[in-house]
Amino acid sequence: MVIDVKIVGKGSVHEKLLMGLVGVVALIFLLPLVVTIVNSLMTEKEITWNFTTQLTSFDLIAGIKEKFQQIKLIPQQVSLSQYNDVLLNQPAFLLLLLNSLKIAVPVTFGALIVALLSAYGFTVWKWKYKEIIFTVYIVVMLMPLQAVLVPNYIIADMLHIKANYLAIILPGIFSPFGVFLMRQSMKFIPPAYFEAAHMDGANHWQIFWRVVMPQLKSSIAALCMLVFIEYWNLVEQAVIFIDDYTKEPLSVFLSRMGEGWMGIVFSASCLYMFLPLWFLLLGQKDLEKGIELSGVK
Amino acid sequence: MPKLSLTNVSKIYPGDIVAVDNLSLDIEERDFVVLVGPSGCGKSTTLRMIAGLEEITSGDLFLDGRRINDLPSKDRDIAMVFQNYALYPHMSVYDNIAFGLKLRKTAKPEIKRRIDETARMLEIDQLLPRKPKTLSGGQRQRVAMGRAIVRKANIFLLDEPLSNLDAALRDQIRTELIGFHQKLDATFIYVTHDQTEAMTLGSKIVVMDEGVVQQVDSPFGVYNRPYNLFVAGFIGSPKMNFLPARLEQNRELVQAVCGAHCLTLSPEQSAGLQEYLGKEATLGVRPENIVLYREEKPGAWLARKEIVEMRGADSLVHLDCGGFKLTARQESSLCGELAEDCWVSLEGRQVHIFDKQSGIRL
Repeated sequence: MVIDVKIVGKGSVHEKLLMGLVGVVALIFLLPLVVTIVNSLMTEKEITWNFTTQLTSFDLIAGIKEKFQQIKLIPQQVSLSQYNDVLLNQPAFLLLLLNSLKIAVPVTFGALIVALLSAYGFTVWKWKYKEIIFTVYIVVMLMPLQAVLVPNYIIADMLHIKANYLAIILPGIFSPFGVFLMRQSMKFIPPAYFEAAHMDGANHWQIFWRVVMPQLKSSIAALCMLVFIEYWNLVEQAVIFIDDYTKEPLSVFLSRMGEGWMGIVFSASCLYMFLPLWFLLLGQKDLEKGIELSGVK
Repeated sequence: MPKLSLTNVSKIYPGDIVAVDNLSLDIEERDFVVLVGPSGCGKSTTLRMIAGLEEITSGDLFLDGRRINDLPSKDRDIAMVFQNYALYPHMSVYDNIAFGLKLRKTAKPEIKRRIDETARMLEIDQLLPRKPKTLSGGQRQRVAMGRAIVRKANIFLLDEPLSNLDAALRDQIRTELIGFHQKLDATFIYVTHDQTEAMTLGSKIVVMDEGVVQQVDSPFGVYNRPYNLFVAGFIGSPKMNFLPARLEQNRELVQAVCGAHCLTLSPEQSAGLQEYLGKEATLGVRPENIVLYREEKPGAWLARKEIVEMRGADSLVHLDCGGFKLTARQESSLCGELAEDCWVSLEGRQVHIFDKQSGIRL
């Protein structure tokens, strides 16, 4: 979400109100992130104390009859022990992180290639039914994930890839969202560029590679980030398709971690967030420009 | 043999939309042909068909006597300057100009030699390392021209290349274009909706309307001998005045009767109008062929001065002449002397008579 704040007048009441509102909204958005980071720096004992509601014998001796979960923003003692536990004592974490990469990376590259080539076809080539087919793409794009999961499951079963990453990767690669985003961005390239290159003697591959691609850097970066984050965070598809828990992505594991791994859940979450957050910060401008170019707001 | 020849060329888009209708045109070597007309008249479509960017629905296109309807545009030996210049934003000026040559696998030293030569001619040597977005409109126009010139094509197509420039720059580049045409010794086909641009640049002017060629002539011809009412009205700024008239005999001459006013035509004009006596016609007169007097003159018409548009050396005087609206061009210094009521005299030799029904010049 991009909020354009127009400064009305220095120090005006209107400006102060607006800035206050923006500050509150930003705080609401930031709070979970801050809590996760702060809690990842607490000791396992402190985490357990803060988030366990079961009464211990010590509590009973102390006369405590009821306990609530507490959210603390300042650790009693700053410690990296959680990170130590996750990275060195829990080999499963790195294995599952690798599983996440095995899904998110191929989907990102595959979706990018399919989206770019399809968008080029939809934009540059003149053929009879392209608008109708593009409308079908948009309709498919508007369908919620839950609606396409069942057909995806049936097709994966038919292709004997049900318990395989391919059952998640293939629908991701051919997702209509990428095609839509790229086509909208390509439409902003004036047709004269294609025509000038064509008259200069360029074939379609040369036009695509040397004229179109360099002008779509921001949109490509935006698509990569959006697809990567989507598939880095996927839960539903993995729960449905992956039976073997050693093959499940980190996102699924994290969603279950609170059940018995409370002591390390915050550091694991921080490490899990690091990659997409780093991408996002690195390519924030490209993301904004890419989405702006595509006309998707 | 003409350099380029279009024979009965038509372009019909889906939905039976006729963009160009049965166009025939011969373009000689080293011609500077200007296709001019209002928006949607088919001039750009014609240019794009010549470039090979649009398929020809029917008719033939010949280049040096060879039919090239199906020849890919890259093989036509034609270079084009686009309206928005189409300079690739991610490439430097040098790379933009070199792009076509690199695709044709021209040797690197030869590419450099040609670009240096072209850059010197266009005075853009200093701009070669820069990106298009850092250039002004005029500089971009020159780079676009350079990209076409460097290919050493025989025919240059220019699609409204001055339309994005401000008026002063347009005048300057217009003059430069004339110079390039002379230096390059090539055939130029230029599209514009601006009749002044067409008159200044073209050695041959093709006036188009609704996909049909209205007249092909020299600038002098289209201005002084417009074939029909459309050409008469489109060419010339301010546009020609039109008055409904009836042709009558006046002794051995013909006179045009416009309401209560009469205008006796010259013996040369009268000679060709005998068969139209008694018929309704349209009389056309250019603003510069109307003379204004402060006092009554024999044959002059009484008119009321409505608005005076000062344009510098001359002014446009808008008049009401017995219900007819006329625009006259007058020296600005004389306009102040005119009273509210003045006298209008049309120069008989300079009027144009058109058939009322067909609009064709009589």
